Amino acid sequence: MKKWGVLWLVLLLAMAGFGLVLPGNDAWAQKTLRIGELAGLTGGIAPYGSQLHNARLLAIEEINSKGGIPVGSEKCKLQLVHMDAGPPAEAIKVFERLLTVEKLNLILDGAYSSVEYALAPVLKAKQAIVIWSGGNDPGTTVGVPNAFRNHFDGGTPFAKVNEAFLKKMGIKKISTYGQQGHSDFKRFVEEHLPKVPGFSVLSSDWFPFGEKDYFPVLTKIKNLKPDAVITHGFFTDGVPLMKQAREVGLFPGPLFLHQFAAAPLMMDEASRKVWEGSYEVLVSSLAGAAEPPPKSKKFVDDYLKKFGDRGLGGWAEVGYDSVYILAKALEKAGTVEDIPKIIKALHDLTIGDIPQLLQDYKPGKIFDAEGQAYPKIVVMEWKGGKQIPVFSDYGL
Amino acid sequence: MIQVLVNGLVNGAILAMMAISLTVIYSILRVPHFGLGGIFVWGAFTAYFAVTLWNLNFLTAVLIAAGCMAVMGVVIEKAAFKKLRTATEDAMFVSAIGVLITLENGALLLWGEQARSIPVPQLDYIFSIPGVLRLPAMRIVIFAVVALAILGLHFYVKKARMGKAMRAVAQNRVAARLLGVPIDRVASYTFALGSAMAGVAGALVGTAFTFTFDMGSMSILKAFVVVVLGGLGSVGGAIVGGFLLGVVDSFTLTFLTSEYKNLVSFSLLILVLVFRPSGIFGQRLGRPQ
Repeated sequence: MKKWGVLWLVLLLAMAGFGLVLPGNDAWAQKTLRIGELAGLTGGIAPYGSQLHNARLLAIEEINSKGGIPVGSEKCKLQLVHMDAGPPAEAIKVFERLLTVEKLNLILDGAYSSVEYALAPVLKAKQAIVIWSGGNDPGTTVGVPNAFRNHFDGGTPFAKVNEAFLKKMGIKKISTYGQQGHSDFKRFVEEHLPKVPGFSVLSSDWFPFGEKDYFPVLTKIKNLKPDAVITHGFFTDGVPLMKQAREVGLFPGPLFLHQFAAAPLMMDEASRKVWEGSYEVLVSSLAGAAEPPPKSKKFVDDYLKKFGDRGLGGWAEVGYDSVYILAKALEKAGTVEDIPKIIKALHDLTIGDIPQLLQDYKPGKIFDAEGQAYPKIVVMEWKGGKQIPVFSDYGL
Repeated sequence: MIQVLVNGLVNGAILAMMAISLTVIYSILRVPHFGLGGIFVWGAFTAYFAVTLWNLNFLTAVLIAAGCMAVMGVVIEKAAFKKLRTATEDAMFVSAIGVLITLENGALLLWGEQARSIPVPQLDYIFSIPGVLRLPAMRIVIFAVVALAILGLHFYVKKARMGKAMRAVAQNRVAARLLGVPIDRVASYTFALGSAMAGVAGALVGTAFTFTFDMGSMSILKAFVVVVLGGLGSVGGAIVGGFLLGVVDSFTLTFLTSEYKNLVSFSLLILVLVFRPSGIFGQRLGRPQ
């Protein structure tokens, strides 16, 4: 019996020597902090949600390769626990699961405004923090103290940038054609545009998700002879829309200002061609531009190396920034559990605190009192299958 | 105005094609085959792969889509409807919905959810009468293919031996069986014919516009509106109903509202059901006591 006991002891020591039984040094010393992600990986949002998710993985990899983030007396590595948000009703269940089953209280989102609207009342009653990086509707942070958004404000600032650009281009008569179900665009069309002095809205039309035949409405718009057409929705519907605008003889003609958040690497070459000569405004990142600034260039190179050359667009940098913003707030708060303290740290964050940020945020504090950030909104022109920045502003 | 009318007629041609496929199966076998929405989707995918993977020309791709969907139609008939032949239409309707869901979700699992378009660069030009009309070549092809399909169906049902058998079954299934008409074969041919037409419609839509795995549900619902509008079981009614709804949609979108396009077409369905329950070309039925 004694002989067997000695033998077991020798075996255990040998296994420990090979690192099979006892945890390694890192694991003893370091905690892993799990961050939830309500990802938009299926449905119309998928081309946007996937790039956001990938960029977050990239940011987390960078942070972990440098040893993680210091929180209080210890250093934490980060781990992203993602779940697909699905449609709004489904998203509430997924969100509850992240909070209760996965026991996560720090959540990043990659969905769209309708999902955020559904979640905001639920979130308000929870001891958790969410940083919205998907949708742009400002109403989803207002009155929700634990909700923040590092994507641009799709309300007044966005409307002002559209307005300033259209005025710069000498536009007076406007037609709009947007996808149904985008509350921010509906407000833009019905509340903002008609009140802008000097603008006359000739028509406001809508198409459902997955519309196929845009000919009738494009024919109508052609007959109205507007100076500009503003479009909005998921870019997968924008491609056939623009193709048919050319077929019906509407474009080239009036200025087309798209709110599709489309970027060259999100689509194939044939699709890129249909946008030629039109403008994209639903973006606050230069990652998709023909010549991104140096910090974005490094990010783009790393992204393409890791995830291939399909899918990168303007949402990726928003996702990347969200990780660094949360990481810095945790570091400053010195806790991962005290939610009010982390909320305060998020409100106190300034641009200078986080040199890794890729979007060009308004100088000073990152978030306003309602938890909204103000990255510069950019207008890009489609030229030779690429996007060239032609105008940008904070819209303040 | 001519542009608006032609826009509507192109859309109407596709609606008519779908409605005819639904009508053929319903009028002969009394099966409300909503699963044709799924066939419509698979037809588009088949043509897409024929063009993009096998580098076949558009016409061959359409024929392959028609052939493959005909075979699929027969398989579906054997698997989902044969045992229900004596069951009520309600039971067959439930089975048809099951087929639709299975086919659409099968396409989602196999090929994903991204929107695709069948590339046909040879048809990439526009017919134009300045100031009056602009019509992409593909839309003219839609007219031509639908017209050919309708003519082909007409001659097949009137002249071919199996076509005559189909008419016999449609008139009186029991009498046809007593006279030696092989019901099983007629059912297979009918499903093959209807499914081939739905497959062709899918290939046309996939080329002229874009297609996704879930486009079948709304399309088959619209085709159903057309069928009711034209008169349940009437091929002529399906053709007229298809073009009528296409034109109504086009005028609604251009001159009334784009936000409530479907509201207008489905309201039209309700109006027809209220004032002429048998549809435009359907036989007048007495009110049930």
